Amino acid sequence: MSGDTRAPLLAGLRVLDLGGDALAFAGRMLAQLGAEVILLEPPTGELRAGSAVGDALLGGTPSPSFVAMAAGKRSLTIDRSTEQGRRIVLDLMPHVDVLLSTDGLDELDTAGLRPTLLLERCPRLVFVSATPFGLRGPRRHWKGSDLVAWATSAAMPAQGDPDRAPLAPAGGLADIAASLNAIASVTVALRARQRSGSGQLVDISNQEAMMSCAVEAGPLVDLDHGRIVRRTGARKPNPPNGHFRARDGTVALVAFMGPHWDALAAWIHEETGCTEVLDESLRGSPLNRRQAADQVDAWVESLTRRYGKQEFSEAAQRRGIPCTPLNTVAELLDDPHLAATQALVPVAVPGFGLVRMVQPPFVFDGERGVVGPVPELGADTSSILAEHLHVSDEQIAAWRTEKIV
Amino acid sequence: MDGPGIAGSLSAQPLADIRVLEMGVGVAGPVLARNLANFGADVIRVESARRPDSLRVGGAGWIPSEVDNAIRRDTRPLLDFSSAGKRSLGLEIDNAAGREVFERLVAVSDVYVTNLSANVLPKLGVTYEDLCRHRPDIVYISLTSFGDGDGPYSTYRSWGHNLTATAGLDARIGWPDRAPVQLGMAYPDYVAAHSGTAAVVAALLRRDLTGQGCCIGVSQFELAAACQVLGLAEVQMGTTDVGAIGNRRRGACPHGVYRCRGEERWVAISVLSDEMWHGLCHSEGLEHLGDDPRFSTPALRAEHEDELDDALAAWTCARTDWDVATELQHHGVAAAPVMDSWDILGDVHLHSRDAIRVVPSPRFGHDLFYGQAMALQETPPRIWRTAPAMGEHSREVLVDLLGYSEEAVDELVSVGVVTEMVEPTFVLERPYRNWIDKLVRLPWPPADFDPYEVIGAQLRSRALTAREEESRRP
Repeated sequence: MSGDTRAPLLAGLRVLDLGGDALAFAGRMLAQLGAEVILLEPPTGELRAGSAVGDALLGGTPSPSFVAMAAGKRSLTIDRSTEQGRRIVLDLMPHVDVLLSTDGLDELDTAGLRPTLLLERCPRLVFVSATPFGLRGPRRHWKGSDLVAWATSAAMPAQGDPDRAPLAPAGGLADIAASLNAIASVTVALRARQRSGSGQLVDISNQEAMMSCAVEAGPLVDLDHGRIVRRTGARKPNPPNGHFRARDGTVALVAFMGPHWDALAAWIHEETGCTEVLDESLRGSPLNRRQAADQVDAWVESLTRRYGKQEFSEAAQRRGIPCTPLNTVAELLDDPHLAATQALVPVAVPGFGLVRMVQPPFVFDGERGVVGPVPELGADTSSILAEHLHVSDEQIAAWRTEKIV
Repeated sequence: MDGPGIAGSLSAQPLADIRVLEMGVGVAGPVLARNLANFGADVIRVESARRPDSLRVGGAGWIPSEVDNAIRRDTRPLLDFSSAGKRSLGLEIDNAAGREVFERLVAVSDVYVTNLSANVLPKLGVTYEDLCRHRPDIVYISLTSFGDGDGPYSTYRSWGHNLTATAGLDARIGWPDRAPVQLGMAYPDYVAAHSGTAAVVAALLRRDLTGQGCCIGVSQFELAAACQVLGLAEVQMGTTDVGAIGNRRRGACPHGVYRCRGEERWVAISVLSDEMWHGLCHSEGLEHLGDDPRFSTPALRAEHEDELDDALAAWTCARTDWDVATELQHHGVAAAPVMDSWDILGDVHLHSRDAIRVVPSPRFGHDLFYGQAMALQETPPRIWRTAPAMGEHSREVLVDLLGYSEEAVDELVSVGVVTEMVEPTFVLERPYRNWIDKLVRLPWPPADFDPYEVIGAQLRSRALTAREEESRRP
């Protein structure tokens, strides 16, 4: 790492990202903290196509999932299905500080990347593995997905509508949970390395990572209640708390605390003339409103429906009531707060143009990092091989002919 | 249990030389600091009794409200998750004597963690500039809901569930024919904690080289929006349906949650590739799917997704969730039961990985801990005790660390500047102790077990001193 006080925090750190979903965001975050992150891709570019059927419609453009996860990384194309390709990757390892892998033990063996052996060869390496259930334990060979991580986190019984199946959100949030546990682990492992000289294996289980982001919907809470908390749709059973319809959309109103209810009840009374809403028996603890939850929610919605969602949120906040607008993903692009903080920045995507992304969410001494562009396929292959392995141009050309790089 | 040599391995911990002051509430700040504690940092929570952490309000669900709040505030189970392994200093810093304690503490600390509101920090005198006067190389992190100044929401009051809605996360959970539902947890708080941990330790790595601290600001709203990275790319690149789509996912079919035998038993199935599809069709009782022309290509399966879901549901509902998952996994298909809390507590796999632990607790003798996923193999997380009781370590911090005399501490306690743990020998028992024993299948020491047995002689002698003092009190 750099001794320059103005340099990004992780400047000088080199990361090899093997391209798995669960650690894709980890690679991006490390890049935003200043690390050089090398994304290893097959020369055919299949990582870019995405698995989604609809992505074929985009022709030569990389898929949205690739764009989301590759911004700011360098692209190194090597065909790991060939013996020579695997050897190049192994030769690269001593020049790498951190390896990001989502492969299971069998795949790692095939690639010659079994953690114990690799760490013997490269004792300073921080080997970060994120797999559905970790590399140890009876379920270590089980396959997983973002949904499977949600399903095994204890969060799902409490998510969804009561008359239908439990739900997980779209958008890869369990993968992001694994990625963020991974980057925290990387920094701690680097500090351990600074003290001991040795790298180590970090064995992230995507199940445990999701559990670490869902504790308020799991055993600690259910044990305390003495029962499993079940799903209640868009509103929690401590009213008013949840989504309410506004004229042009939805607001999230979280006013279960006594003083917030008092302010809201007074407002409802002011605008609608309803006096029952002021009933003394409803004041104070949310338990006092639980029996009358449907009525309470109806009163609240009779108020929220009179306003636009931004307008209502502003007015509620002026009265000290926690309320914010609900955004769809498309609306997020036009959110006035993100606009004011200039949080969305254009990122170049080859073959497509510009895509706006949220800039790095950390501000260090008043400065933000940058989101780098999405690399062209193999854009950095030659420079990485020449720089780190001192491979000659002729050799690279020969490998290219053999389609190894 | 944490294994042997707990005290002996302290110095080998990656953050053993780091002291952290935390002034946090709820999840984001406290869990960040807990991560640091789990890797060896000495984390001191500076807690106000007058303006307590929201998790110090109320108490466990089963404790009658008549019980003294000074006991109840130590009993919320979520505290064990958010503050395991820390020390607690009960301190009011809005007066001269308390301020002096605080400033002396800052001078001997490396990191300051807070998620108090942006507008509260200057009022309390705990901005980066305030702290730099006493510790120029401090690493300071402030997690706020909407950043620290600009933008129309910057003064908004909010809970985690406001952020999930406004950052577009709620809009992605629900059924296509209905309005979206609420995400089950304050996801932005947790991701702020874990990514904030990375930012703090990265800053420490740079400080190790340069001697310079830094000020880190995190807007949890922006972070949550950054987690929406996939949806944002999709919506700009022409994907339709970037909303609530049940448990289906584009490009993966079948993909969903299916009812199984028994009440509220479900299985999650993700067929992510052709290989998995063939695995599914080789599973016992599903062979007919492979011959069905409606399902012969990914495009056809997507077109006939409803029929395919019906066919799968007919198969799953006659079987248990674990039978379905085991059979599908045997054929290489991603599948798992939708686990509830009881499944988690009894899960052999999680136990084999030490993911659920029973650790010493000041108020309960022993208590349950889970939720630390940073599985470093050579320097594993050290979870040596659950959350501290309010003010449990006030005296040792003031006397041992800051050099106050016992009399001076007595004086600070008597005027209400410093709060100590009330009735330290008063040990409660969680009502589910007896049956959790069977469910968790972890060694849970008998109730008369001395929690200090496992924390080493040094702490034990300190505890005995405290107890003797307690018994000497009139």
